[in-house]
Amino acid sequence: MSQPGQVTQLLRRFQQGDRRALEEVYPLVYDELRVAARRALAREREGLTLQATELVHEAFFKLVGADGVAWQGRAHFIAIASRAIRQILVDHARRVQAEKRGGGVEHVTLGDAESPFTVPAEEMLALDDALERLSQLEPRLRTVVEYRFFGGLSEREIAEVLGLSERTVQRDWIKARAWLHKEIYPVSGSAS
Amino acid sequence: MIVTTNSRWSNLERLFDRALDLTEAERAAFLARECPDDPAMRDEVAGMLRAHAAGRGILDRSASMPADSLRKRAARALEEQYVIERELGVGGMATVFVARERKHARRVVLKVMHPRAAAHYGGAERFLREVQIAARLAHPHIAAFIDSGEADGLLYYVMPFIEGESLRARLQREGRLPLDTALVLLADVATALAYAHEAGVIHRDLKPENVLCAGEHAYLLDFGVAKVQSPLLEEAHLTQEGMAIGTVAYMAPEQLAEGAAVDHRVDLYAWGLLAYEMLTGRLPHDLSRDGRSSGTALRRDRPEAPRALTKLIAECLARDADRRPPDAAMVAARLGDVAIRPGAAAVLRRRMIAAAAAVLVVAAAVTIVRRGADGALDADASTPRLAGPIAVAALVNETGDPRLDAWGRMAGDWITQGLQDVGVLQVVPWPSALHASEQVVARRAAGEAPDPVTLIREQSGAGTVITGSYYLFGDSLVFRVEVADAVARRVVGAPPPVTVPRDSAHLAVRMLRDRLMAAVAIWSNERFAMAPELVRRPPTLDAYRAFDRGIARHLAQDYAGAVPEFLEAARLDSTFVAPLIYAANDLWNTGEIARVDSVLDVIAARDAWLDPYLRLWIEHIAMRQRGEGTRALAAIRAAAEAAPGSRAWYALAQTALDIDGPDEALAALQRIDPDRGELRGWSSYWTQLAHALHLTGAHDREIAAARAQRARYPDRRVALVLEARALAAAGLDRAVDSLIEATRALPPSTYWSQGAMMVQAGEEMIAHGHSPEAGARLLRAAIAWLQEQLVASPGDRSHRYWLGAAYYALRDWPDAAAVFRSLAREFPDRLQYRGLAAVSAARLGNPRAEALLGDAPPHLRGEYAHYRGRLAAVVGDSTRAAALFAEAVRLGLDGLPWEHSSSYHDLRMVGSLWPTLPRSLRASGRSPLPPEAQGSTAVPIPAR
Repeated sequence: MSQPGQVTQLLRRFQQGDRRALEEVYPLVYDELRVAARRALAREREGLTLQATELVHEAFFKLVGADGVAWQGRAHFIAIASRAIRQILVDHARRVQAEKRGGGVEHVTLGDAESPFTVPAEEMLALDDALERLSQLEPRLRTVVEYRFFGGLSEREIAEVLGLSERTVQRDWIKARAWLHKEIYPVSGSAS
Repeated sequence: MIVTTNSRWSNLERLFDRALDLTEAERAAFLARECPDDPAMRDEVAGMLRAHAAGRGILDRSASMPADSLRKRAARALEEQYVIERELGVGGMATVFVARERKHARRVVLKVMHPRAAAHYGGAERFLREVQIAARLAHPHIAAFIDSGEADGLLYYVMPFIEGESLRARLQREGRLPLDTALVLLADVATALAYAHEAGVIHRDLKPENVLCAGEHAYLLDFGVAKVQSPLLEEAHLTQEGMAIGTVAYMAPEQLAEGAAVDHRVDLYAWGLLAYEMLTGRLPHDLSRDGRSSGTALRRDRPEAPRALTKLIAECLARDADRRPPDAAMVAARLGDVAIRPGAAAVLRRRMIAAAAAVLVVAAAVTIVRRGADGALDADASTPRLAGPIAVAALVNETGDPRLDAWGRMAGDWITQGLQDVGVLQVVPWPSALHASEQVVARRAAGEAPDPVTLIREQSGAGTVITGSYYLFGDSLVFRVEVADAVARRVVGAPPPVTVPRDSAHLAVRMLRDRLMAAVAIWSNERFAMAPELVRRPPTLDAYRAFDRGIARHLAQDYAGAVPEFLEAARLDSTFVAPLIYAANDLWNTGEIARVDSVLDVIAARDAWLDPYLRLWIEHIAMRQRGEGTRALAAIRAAAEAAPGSRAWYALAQTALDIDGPDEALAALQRIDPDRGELRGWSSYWTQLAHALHLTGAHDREIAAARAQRARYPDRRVALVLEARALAAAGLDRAVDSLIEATRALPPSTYWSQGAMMVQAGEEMIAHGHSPEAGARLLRAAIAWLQEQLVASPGDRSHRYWLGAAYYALRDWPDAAAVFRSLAREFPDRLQYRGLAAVSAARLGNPRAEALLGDAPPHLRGEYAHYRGRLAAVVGDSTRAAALFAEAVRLGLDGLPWEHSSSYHDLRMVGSLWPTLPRSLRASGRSPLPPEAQGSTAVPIPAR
């Protein structure tokens, strides 16, 4: 398990523009989030509600903790965590599907306790696949989708983290959304 | 997967981008032209376009939410003010509902922005500011904003509901419009624009969809909030709404140019297009050239249109804003000169004059509104509700350890997020609040001593500011925050400081956030705004929720159900004492006196969290518990004086009634508003008021109070008993009869039954001497009714009690004694039954009567003294009786003399000592018996 100081160091490097720091910090954040997610899921055997926002907050407190990282807002951290959240949700969807195969459509519940929303496990896995294919074409689009969908960051925050204009982020999102939905819902073009 | 190489991908991107700017019809041709030999690419672009336009997929979930959930969420968040009736339409940016405004019972249009779209307005703050500015517009042809805000994170605004159809619908129906109709509508729009522009508000999205036609006239909708930052998004908007008109059709050229500054003249351009479409039924073919070409086309399509009109429209359509008319007032004026026929021209000209006058006053009006808003805040200072928006400053690091600097900013950010989740107040976004906090630090560094609250208010426009700091205390880290009303510049409250081990600052941040979320919820809740113990020390959110559930049950007088909720609330937050006070109170109400003690023990263990106000409350409860009415009164009086408008005033009234202070009770009840604040929904307010008025002899007002309770709480049967009693005391026998007659059809109630009505009214008639015979008749009717009920539900103790009281009032001692004796045997814990059994036995001359009275627990010492006094009176020891009555009242006689109405028969025997008796006891009977009747049963009472 990670040391808080280690994450802080990496975050600082990341904020100073060292993109590789992100790759290094990722496993640490992922470990922490996975443990937290397992704990959260164990608490709720039936509901399978994964409160992604809470998980990120908790992990942040734990990893960045008390030792005075130059505080730039939570956007940078969540940007990193969004990748890990994706991984956790996809793993979870895979497990749900494996455990209950043959029992109809299984769902993964996201959001928070107040306004949860459910995604069929199958759809989550389809998104994961499509996202990988998208990143082959244009890696930045994958990043925008991860930050926004899994991390819940606003376009403004994404623009800040990636050093892009907000308008570019908006355009990226429209493009990525259209392409991914086309891939995920090939015939009807929509989920519902 | 079709796309494999990156060059192919860039091609796909490019085609998709360009196709987005085209209409549905143009897209197929465009794709066929661009990639004639690549059907796979065409399919792929078409697939993306379809997916782009299609409704919801997985990726729409995190940023926006499903429509039904939006409706549910909006309905819940706004339920205090609005009832959503139906959905009017869903657009890309907002969902529109027809709703009913509760306060004015009128129909309104409620527009709730989709969370995803809201972000494009540049955030909630900006959106609300724009609505606020536009809301100042008051013009006959502008549908004004009635209300706006952010609720549960949803941005919304409210407009009046106007019956009519959109200009778009009318154009679709009629094609082009008759010339005079078009002129009237265009004049309405132009004068409305002139007025708004003068007030500094630009519409920015004028189009037939935003013009409502009602009768002959036009109303502009969505003023000032239609601004969209990017034409790309506007395009998405139009596509999602499925509109057939060309993309970005109504936008002026400068609006389409990226980053260009726009001014009021974009509305003139849109007005020109509106006019063109109204006259020809379509939009100009070629807008890329100058407006003049449109003028030519217009004259060709509508040759009968006056040249002055087509010229004006063509000028408005100039691509270069500088070549358009300078302002809408000019457009309106020139429109007034357009002569079609003499009558229409005169109407138009009159309207132009009115419009000019309106423009002249608008600047002044806006200033006044601004001043009014500030003044209103001052006027509201008496009610401590929070004024939005609320800003959270970075907490100040007072530890002397720079390594702990980050926590202050982190706490500010996290608390801000939490307050946004609570959603009852507009919240200043963290970046703005952080910026403002940094200004404070910078000024300090420059040697100034700025007031942080004022400075943050200036920087962020906040009405409420949360500031705080953290410091080291031994090995612990202590966080404290204060909430200040930034307008009145006073501290509204401070949650308890949070102390954590030095390495666990994150826990402190979470706890603070939780407490402040609850605090803001409480301070924004009208009921609790005047509850000092909640305002000063807000609990955690969970505890608050449990407390709120308890309050709901308490108000429904479900005391037994309320107690567990209150205890749960106290368990969830060990610093939260208020629910324990309620629990003690409700345990008292249910008669579980022993448990009151254990709750008091728990409160004592939380002594650290008691402020002076709560200490006085505890003292009050403890004194009542010990049967020390006078001291209980003193404690609650002090608490009430410390907390204007709080429920301490109600408790003061109740206690004053117990110890012979109807005047103080009345004064206290008048200090609180029964329809607002903590006492809202508390029907017993009126019971106490009627009772206090009864004791002071103000029977007219007593009748009014009883009726007020009945009007507000038609299901509370006590109101009927109160009214019957008041009417009887006032000597209105016939009114009593008709009231009782009217209630005959009601299902029998348990305690406050028809029997109770008759007994109370009959006793009053006899006591006041207006009509003893009518009183006796009523008592006999009561006996018959009660006996009938006892056949249906044998053993019912309420019916038996009133039956005994009726016998006693009729001086039928043997029957009264039999009833009370059996009740006392069955319910040996009830001092009241034992007391009445003893007094009845004494009336029968039983020498061992006093033994029936038995003992009493401390909290009933007053009541016990009262029965002993009655026994003394019955046996003729009037001096002793008077002394015991005086003691009873000093100690407090709970419920006096509601359930002691039979005492007056005994009290009247005190004779010469009558004037020394407590006033509230004397009020239940008119006068003492004549001396010759004392100690005798030969009193002038009508024969049975």
